[in-house]
Amino acid sequence: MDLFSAKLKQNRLYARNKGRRLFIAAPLPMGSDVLNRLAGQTRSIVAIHMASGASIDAGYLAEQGFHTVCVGDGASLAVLDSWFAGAEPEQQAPASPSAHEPLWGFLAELNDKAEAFLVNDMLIQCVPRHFLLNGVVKGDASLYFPLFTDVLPRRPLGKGSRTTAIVADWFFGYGDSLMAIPLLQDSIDRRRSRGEPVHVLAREKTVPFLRKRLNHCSVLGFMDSYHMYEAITKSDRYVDVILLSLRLTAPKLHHVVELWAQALGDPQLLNRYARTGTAVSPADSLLAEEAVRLRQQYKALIGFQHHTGEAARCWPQRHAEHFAQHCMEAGIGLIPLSPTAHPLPCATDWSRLPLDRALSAVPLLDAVVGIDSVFGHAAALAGIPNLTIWGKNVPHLQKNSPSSFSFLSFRPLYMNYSMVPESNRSEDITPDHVFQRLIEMLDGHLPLKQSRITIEDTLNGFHIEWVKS
Amino acid sequence: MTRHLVLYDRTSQRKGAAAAMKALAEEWRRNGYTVARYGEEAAQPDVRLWEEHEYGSSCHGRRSLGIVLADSTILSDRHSYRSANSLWPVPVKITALVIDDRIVNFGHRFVSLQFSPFCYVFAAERHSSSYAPLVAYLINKFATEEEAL
Repeated sequence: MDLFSAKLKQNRLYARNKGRRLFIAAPLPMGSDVLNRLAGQTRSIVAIHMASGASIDAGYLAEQGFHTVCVGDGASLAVLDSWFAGAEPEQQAPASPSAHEPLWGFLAELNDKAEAFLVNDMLIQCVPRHFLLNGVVKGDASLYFPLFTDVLPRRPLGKGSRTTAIVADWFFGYGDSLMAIPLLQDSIDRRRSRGEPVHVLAREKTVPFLRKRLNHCSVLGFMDSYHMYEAITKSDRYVDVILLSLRLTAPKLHHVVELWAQALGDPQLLNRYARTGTAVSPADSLLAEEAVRLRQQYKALIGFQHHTGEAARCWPQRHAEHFAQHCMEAGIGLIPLSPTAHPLPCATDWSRLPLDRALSAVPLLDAVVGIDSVFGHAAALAGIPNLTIWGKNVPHLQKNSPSSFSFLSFRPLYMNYSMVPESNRSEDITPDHVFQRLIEMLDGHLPLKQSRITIEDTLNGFHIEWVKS
Repeated sequence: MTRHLVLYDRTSQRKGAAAAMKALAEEWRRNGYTVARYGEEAAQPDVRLWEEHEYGSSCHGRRSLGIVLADSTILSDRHSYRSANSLWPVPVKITALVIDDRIVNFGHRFVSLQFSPFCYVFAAERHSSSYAPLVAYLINKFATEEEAL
């Protein structure tokens, strides 16, 4: 599905699931209190710095479904709590004690049926056109919200911020994060040595993951939308905003880490890119002991992932079961790493472990067999032989839809062997075929590349096997 | 202390710099800042505007920022992941692009006109009556961050 269709679908979903909308007007000194109170209840907030209470029309707000509340002191903040609890306090016009004083305004929505970023996008579209998107505000949870204004007070000019924001693209997942971490840490350390702090901004889902693995920087969340990219770019918090993109609509082809290195402004980053312990942390003693025990029973331990959220990348369950059977019969300990509805015959099941623990178990394995997803990247970065079963995408190109491509390669970076169906259907790669390649891999008959696999390697077909239907 | 804004004209026609400089100066003044062009007498203006040939190879470090006047072809994905200074190696940090001509087919990137991965893009055609969004952005980049919210 291309981005336009996805957006259309999201809009329809939202239209069926509108939530309760609130507009709060508050004097400037109360801005933080109101924002923090709101942020404790919803992720869908837009801040507006208004020249006065007359900046926004109460009738317009009512038309858009906003219940307007004015707060003037700490005690009146209680009205917010009653609204959160479901009450509808008396509507008020957004007036300040003096009609000519600047005010904070906050648009917010409580909505547990639509995704927060989507609701946030819809709120942004409700902001009257005379307000200018001019930056971001930060809630308690280190989450950025967009800031609009119709007043630009004369500010003394200084040298500006020294901080750089590195923004992870809307679609950044765990596998992308793992590949980006060595580049990010290198770039963070170099900028830090020049006295230039770095903030890494990512969608909320990946914030804890990145925070755990990146040092000497702040990792903050933001509602992923193109409005937010713009708000962050315009913000006075950052001298520079760098996007680590996952889309490229024009050739030439790049591996995604090559693209990111250019975006970070330092092509030498790639020469220093190395397998690193920061991306895949060591396993705890319980897992390590279990691996030792399993090694006494099996010839080899194989991590396995055949399923992910996107159906076109998954390998069919029947193939996975057949492959698991082959492994067990050959005395190879198969270990599922990603949860599925139907359990597989296996040596042990690590698929229900928290993601961090499951990733830390990867270096304990002899190989990982999987689809184009996070555990293949973890294996590559840990220097473990890995075999990728491709489906919709191919090692050198992403197919967003039949007619839309992203000219980027997401192939695992080290020790990778790729099996690619000519039909783009992963089901055309049989379990017998994968098992045969796995045995060759374990026997050392597939000499894998220990240094980084470049886009040139991939375009030259290095360790890529095209499989006929 | 004076901040320096340098305009680099990288359009194919090389005709838009004078109009852009005039619009920029007017908008800075409208926001209450004192502005001087290169060569104009002024005691410590808030902002001094330069064209490339006037600025030469001088550099005032973090007190200077560059703006590039460019054709809309620069918005293609062939360039979007690169930093502006890697595309145009100039002595000051490029902080914004001003696109003078009509922008066609940029929506497919599903981003708003004001954003490009490599820096802020100001579409002059869309804001023909005012450089307000660009100057608001430049004020933010010169001003020190305020920890209000």
